[in-house]
Amino acid sequence: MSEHDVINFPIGTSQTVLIVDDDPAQRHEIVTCLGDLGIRTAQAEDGATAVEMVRTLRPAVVIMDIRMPRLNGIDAVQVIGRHTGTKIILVTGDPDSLYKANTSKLDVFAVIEKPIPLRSLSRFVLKALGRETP
Amino acid sequence: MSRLRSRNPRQPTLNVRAASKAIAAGCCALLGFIIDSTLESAHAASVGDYVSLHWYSVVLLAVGSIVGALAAIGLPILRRQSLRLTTELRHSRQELASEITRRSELTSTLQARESYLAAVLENLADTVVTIDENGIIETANAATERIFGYPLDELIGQNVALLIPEDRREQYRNYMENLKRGRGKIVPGGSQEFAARTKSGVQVPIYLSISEMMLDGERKFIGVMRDISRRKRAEDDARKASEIFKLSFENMMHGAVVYDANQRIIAFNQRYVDFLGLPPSEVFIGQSLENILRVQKRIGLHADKDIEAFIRQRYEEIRRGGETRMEIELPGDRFLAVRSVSVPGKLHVSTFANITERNRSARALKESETRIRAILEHAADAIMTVSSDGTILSFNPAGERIFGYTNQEIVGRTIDTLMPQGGLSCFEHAETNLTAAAKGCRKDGTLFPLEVSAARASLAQAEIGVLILRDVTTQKGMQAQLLHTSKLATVGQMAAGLAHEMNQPLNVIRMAADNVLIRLENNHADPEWLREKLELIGEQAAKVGMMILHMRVFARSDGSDFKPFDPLESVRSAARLMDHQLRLANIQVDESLPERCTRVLGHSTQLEQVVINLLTNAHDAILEHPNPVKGGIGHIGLSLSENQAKRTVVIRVRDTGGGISDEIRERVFDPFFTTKDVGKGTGLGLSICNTIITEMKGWIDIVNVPGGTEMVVTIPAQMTN
Repeated sequence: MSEHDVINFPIGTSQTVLIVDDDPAQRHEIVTCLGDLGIRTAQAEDGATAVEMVRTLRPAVVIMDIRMPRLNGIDAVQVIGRHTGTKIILVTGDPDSLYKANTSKLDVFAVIEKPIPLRSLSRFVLKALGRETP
Repeated sequence: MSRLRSRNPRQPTLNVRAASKAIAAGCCALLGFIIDSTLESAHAASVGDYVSLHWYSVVLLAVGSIVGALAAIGLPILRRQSLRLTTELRHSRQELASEITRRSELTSTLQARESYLAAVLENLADTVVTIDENGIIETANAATERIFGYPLDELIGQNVALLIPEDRREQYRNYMENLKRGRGKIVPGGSQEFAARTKSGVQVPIYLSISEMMLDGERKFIGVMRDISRRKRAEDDARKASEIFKLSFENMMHGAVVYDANQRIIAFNQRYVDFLGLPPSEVFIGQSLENILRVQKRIGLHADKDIEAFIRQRYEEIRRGGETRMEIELPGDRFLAVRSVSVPGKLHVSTFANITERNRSARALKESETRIRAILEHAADAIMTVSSDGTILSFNPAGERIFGYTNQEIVGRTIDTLMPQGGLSCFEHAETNLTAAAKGCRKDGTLFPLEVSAARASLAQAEIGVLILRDVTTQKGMQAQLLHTSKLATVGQMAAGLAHEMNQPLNVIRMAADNVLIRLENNHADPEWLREKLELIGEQAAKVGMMILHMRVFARSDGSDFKPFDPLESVRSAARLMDHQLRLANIQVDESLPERCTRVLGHSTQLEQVVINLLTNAHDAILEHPNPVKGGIGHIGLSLSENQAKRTVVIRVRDTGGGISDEIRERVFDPFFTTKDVGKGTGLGLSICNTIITEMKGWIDIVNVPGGTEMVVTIPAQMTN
């Protein structure tokens, strides 16, 4: 499947959160945090894998670092498309990417600057899942 | 002379008187007898009958009477005559005697003379040979034996052709033939040179005089031969000397003219005519000095002189004798130096040397000197000369300025005053030219970096060193600055990757801390989990610390000397730093690194800088490549290998960025050369890399490989491991 195909997924998603980051240590912390909230997580280390896993897993939320090899976050957003219903949270440690993300008309749920404040992240994720923060 | 016995001539030896008387008496007696006998025998016949009968008696009687009469008359006459005769006889006898005496005296004289002549002949240096008409040798003197080597008995009776060389014998025979036939003539007093032949076959040059004489009715020839070998040799020597003189005279570099005591030319050479530009018709043997001087004036020489006064002056000088020198200017800006030597009453010689070149050279030399002095005075670098033992011989103003010593203070001191450590050695090692870095010491004691250029030169058979010293303080400062700047620039290059690198552990720390806090708030934190988390935080923090440390080492200026370090570490470090950036760009790094590596001399951070730079360039090349590689993945090959034989370490960075053109390749090492757009990249990178590697005594090669470029860094491995 080429990166440029627009994927049309059927509506309906699982309650999984897909975490996409090339740094396993950072993924782990997010997993820990969400896990403590009882949220199911899956992981991918680059954009291409992320696209694949979105197709198969149909996560409700994707937390994605913008700067990634093979397919960066912003492009991945395009590919994943609007109609999937997956909510995308972009994260980045790079001011330029942050700027780009904020100014381009992307249909993303949120853009968070690294280092990720986990409490905020939790709130966003719960909201995206339709669960209110306790 | 024997004395003749003298006799009284008056006393005749013969008593003539007595004899005449006797004869008369006898005749009378006879007459009487006859008459008597006649009368007796015949009767007195007539006288006539008598007479006819006894005519004979009559005749006898008549005769007798005549005889008697004659005797009577004649006898005294006779007597007188006989007296005279006697006297004459006596005279004759006397004369005869004296003649005989004379003759015998003459004979003795002759004999004496003969011995004398014989002695002379025998002792003559010249050969005297007499020959007859046919050429047969009749006499020969001792000299003939000596010169020709034949003993006399081998000469006498032989044809004189014996003494003539074979090739001339024909000629001789013809000549003798002609002489014999009366066709030729000997010129009295004539002589000629001719080569004669000795017994041993040697030819000897002789001077031959031939004369003719008649002796005993026969024609004889006398040949006098003088051995002229010595004279010939002397002649040859004289001729050779004359030739040598002529040759030398004509071929000298100088023009020369010789005048006799009357100031007339007796010799001159062509160069004399040429140098002075004299019309050849005016220069001849016998020409007078004053005419020559007037001609010179006419053609433009001695322009400022009154020529008559000059002529007088010259004549005066010549008369006085001795040497004079002067310089003449010729038309056309030419100069001659003239030297005249006069021997009064004998001759005087003038020689002329063309000093135009010398004058021109002198002038040119002066100009050149002035120029060189100007260069020395105004040069910005210190220029000095030192002797082979290091003593400073000269010092220019720039040197004074740079070192703070005045010329007087420093000349005479040794070079180590200015370059304390190994100043002298830099000269000793100057096989050809040498440029080296050294430390200079100013008068106030401060040290500063110097660049020394040393060369050897010869000056008046002594070896000197010429040193040019440049104060490179500012340069070194700038270089250090540049190096530092480039390092910071490299740091800037790494900034993005660096930022990310550092942010990663920091992010982990923050999130881990957050997790801990959340759990603690929820009372969910068990000590074991807490411990893990805290350890994690610690590790990540340490990671950041290492990075910062690394950066600090990197950012610090390297004033220090080279140290041995492991190049593998630098390569790995660089790769790590660039890792994230490269992965972001979808570039795969294919590493080929050994387990261990020989150490090299230099600064590890500098080598790291180089590798980072190369990786960055490779990264940029791939990204900018118009035709990306299939699959969208760029590749960078990073390898390190050791060449044991050449004792080098080789680091290769290969990219798939499409390669570079030859023009660009030539310029990549130029400072500030860049193929990037304005604002992207400083262009400092490769030139600095080159400087760094060159200072490590290595080099960088650029090779085009299929699909891209390979940068090959070669550095010498440290000798002792």
